[in-house]
Amino acid sequence: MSWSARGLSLLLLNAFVTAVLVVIALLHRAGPSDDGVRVHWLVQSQGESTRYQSHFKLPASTATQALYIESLSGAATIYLNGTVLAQRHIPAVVPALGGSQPMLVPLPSALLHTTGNELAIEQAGAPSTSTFIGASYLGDEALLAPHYAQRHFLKHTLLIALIIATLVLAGVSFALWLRRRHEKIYAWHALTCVAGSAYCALPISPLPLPSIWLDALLLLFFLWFVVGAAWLGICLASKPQPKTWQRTTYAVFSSSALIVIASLFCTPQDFRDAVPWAYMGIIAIGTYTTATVFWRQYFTRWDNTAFWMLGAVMCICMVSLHDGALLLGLIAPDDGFWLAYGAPPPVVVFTALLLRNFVNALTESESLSRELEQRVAAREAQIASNYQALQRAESDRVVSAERERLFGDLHDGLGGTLIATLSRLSNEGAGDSAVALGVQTALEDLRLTLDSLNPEERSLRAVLAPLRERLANVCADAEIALVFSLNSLDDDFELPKSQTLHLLRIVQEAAMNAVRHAQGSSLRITLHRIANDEGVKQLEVLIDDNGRGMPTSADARPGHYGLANLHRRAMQIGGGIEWLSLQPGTRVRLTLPLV
Amino acid sequence: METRNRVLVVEDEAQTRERLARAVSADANLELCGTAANCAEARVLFAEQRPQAVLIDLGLPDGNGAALIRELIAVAPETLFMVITVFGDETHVVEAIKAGASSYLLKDASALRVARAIHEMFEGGSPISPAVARHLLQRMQVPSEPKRAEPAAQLSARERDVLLLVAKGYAYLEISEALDVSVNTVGSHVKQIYRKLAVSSRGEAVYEAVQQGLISDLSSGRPH
Repeated sequence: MSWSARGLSLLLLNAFVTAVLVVIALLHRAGPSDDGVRVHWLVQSQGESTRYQSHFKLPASTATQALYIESLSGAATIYLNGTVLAQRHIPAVVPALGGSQPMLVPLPSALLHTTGNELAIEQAGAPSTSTFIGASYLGDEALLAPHYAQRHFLKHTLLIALIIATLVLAGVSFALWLRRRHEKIYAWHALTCVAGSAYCALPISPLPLPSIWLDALLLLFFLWFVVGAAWLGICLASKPQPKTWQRTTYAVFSSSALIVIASLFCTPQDFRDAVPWAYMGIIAIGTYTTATVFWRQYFTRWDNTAFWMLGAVMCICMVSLHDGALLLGLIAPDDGFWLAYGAPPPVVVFTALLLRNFVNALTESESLSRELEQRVAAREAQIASNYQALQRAESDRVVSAERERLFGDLHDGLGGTLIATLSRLSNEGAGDSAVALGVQTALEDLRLTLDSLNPEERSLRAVLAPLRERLANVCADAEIALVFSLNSLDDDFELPKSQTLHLLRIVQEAAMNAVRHAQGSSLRITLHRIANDEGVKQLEVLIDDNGRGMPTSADARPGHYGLANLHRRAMQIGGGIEWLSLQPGTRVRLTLPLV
Repeated sequence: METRNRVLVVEDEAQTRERLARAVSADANLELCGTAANCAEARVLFAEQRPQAVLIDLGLPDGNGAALIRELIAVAPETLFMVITVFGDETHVVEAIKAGASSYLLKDASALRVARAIHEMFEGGSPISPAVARHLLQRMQVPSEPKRAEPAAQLSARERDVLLLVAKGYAYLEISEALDVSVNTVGSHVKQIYRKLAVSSRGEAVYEAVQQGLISDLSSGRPH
């Protein structure tokens, strides 16, 4: 935002604040000019008391007459023709501070004389310099009552409502501070609210205290309110230096001590005379400090916070201006200090900012803790998976090493012997004998066992590959066209190790049977996944030849070792095997349930 | 009639040696130029006969077959070596390929298969199993990976694809379909991979030797 735009915004804010204050002023000033007759008082000082006197004639109206005083300070007794009409007990504080309250006193017709009447107000214990009486009117009670009600609302009801609301805020802040001692800002907020409320409540509370004590208490509350508000603003704006904090503490406590000492040793009149200057000092220093700090902090940046803080400060400055003028005697003290009306907006702003900070901190801490939880969970999962991978790698390594050792042993031992035997049989012309066939089968079985032991080759396709190669060679020798169809099998399709070896043996044995006995010209081996009638997933293995077909069914030849063997192997892995006739040829169909 | 390819068989077990020899002799296009039972006999026969192909067992009584392959290839780089093994397991096969062998054969292969395998080798084919492919993938570098200090074989992207598919259990025909190339091309990729591994293993051997101070001058030295 550019500087001119900032200026304009501030100007608008200023205008708004001024308008609000003008409305308050107009409400205060709305006197009953047409609804009553202005009363002119004669002031008489009687030592430590003051007496106001006025004479009037009974008007022609027959309605109930009343006396309406816009503002009157301190305790008072009102007489009509020598008879006590009303008594009021409120503390006699410095009138400028807001101790003046409106009064509406009905004049009983029985006491009124047609010839002439005397009204008198006595204020015991208050010299005329310390009392104040605002504009007063005589007239029809029904007409004057609304004026009184409006002013009573403004000077009493509204004030009490504001005080209660502020005290509630103070309670919340204090509770927060108790839980979070290191966040002093909540304590400052509570102090500001309590001091402000006490300051506003004291003049309208019927406390039976000597007037000098009341004045001193008011001054103390005012001091703490200003200091609390300034410090709260500074804390909200930036992180203050500990040195600043120390100095402020010294200043506040020494000022407070000074006020207490002065109230103990000065005469009430001297103290009362000094009070306006003390207020002036507090207002001046407080306003200056707050304004400069805020100006420095908030005018250099431009965001919502800055806008509202500057608005709040402006509000305080305007009110201070009015109250300062009041203290200097430039304005009649009809209305007293406006602080009570000027303070709530900044307090609301401060509270809102404080709440926002609190909520932000809460949200951030929640999101951080959530993030932490997620990170911990992810890390745990990673560690677990790493651990599993490690375990698997370790077990693979062990199996691999063992398999390598087995290869070495079998290469020189059993394998070598089988090969030598096979070679001897072949060299002696018995290469096709049953013995040679048995030795060859044993060798092939050994190879299958070793193939199935490879820990790195888990996918069925990869495990089948060596068998495919060997079968391809056998088929090439026998001039049989071999087709392996694995297209519908995923690359990473795996079977449990216990099933794999049996499956390899079944495929090898069925295929070798076809090569040796079927006398066909083609052999097709198909593996694919299917679902049976009940929807159970299965692996289906088909070994099809186009040879002469089976002489009889498998069941009819229970003694046939090869077929019984295939049957047994299929049963062992929970599968089923069947022999089907093709035209021409035979199909061996193995089904294996997949878990 | 065209000249027949001369084949030497080196195998310590007498029956197997005889069977392999008969298988070679049985093929009209192959000529058995001798059989050896150990490294010493093999060296003599090789020097005398200069065969075009050698069937060789790795476990020989007086030495290691792989070392012999390396030695003979250094003398006659054009000779093709086929290692004969009981199981075709990756430990043996990779050791042989590193030494410079082009193919491997199971010891119990039929006479027909023996002859066919030798012909396939002459035609440029190299068999490979998933386990071997996995082994090669683990030890051979892919260009995108950062270079290591020691010389290592670098696979082209296509060679890597071929190895990956072999490792997954695909046959040559399936790989040729998947990569949209001919079966022969797949075979020549595998052969190229084997060659790279052998070259790199020779490089590694030189590197090791230099590291150990065995060879001080690379230009004059030749690994043994």
